Amino acid sequence: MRILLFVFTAILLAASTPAQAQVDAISKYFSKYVDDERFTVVYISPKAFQMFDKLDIDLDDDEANAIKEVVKDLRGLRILVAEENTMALYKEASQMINKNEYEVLMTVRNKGEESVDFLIKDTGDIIDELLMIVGGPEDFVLMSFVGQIDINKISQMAKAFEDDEEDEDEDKED
Amino acid sequence: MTNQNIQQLLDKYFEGETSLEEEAALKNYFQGQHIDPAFQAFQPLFRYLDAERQTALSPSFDEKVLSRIQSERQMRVRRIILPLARVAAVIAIILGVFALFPKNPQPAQAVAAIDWEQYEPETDEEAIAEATAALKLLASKLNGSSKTATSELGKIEKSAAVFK
Repeated sequence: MRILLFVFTAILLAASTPAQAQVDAISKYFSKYVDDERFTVVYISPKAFQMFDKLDIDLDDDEANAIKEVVKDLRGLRILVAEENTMALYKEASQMINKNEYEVLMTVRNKGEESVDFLIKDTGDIIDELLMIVGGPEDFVLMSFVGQIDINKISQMAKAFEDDEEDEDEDKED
Repeated sequence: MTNQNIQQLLDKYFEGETSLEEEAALKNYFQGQHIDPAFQAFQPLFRYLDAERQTALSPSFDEKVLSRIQSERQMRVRRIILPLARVAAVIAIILGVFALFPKNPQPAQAVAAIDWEQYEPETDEEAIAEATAALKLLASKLNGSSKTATSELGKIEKSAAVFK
């Protein structure tokens, strides 16, 4: 009898385990966009990310290092870009995301010009996916970074570019 | 003992009327060397009975019995496992059938069927350039938004803390 119970428990467990592996937001919510001709689709595989160390990137050292740090943690990047109907697409996209699954890191609306949403899916301190939705007057961009993302590295990278932008601003002023 | 005596005893014996002493006498006679050829035919009967009486348990008797019991126990285990195995086999077959013929409308599965490989840039250099551009865009959007966040509203504290 014990064996019978064991067999049944095993089968029940096997049947109830959700078969869904880690699925990124684009595969889950936006697959219809991927097939859509109006969208430009780019996928960067984990293999390509591994090549980063071997190639020189045409950037300042700080920026290159910051990018390399971020890239180390990435397991995939999916990008969708559309150039028509952008605001409608942005609205649709931000509604489609299940807010129980994705946490809004921040949302920015620039007075009818451009809206940017940053969404994360995390387990504890590690971010499994970082999703950026940009709805501007000219572009609709959907980017999904998957991996084991360290938000501190992302912020350091943002900072490296920010300093650079400021430098450039100063240059212009001079 | 005379042959006549023997004949009488034998007759009685086969009638089942011999006493114990008379049977012992008969046995004694057939145990002996000098048996009349007329009674030779009965010799094995009495010798056999006697030989049977002498058989004892062989020294390995206990072992043999115990090993029999042991094997019987294994048989019983087998008798329990076998039907269970049948049940398991049936379940496995049913599951197998379900796995082979999944329900036809499966929108959830279609989602996972995107072939991302075809959207990969052809060379690693291109892939890296694309990824770098994407990260740059991400960084600039983060910066732009953290600026607006701090300058306009000081929005979510979390993001402000992270991206300062």
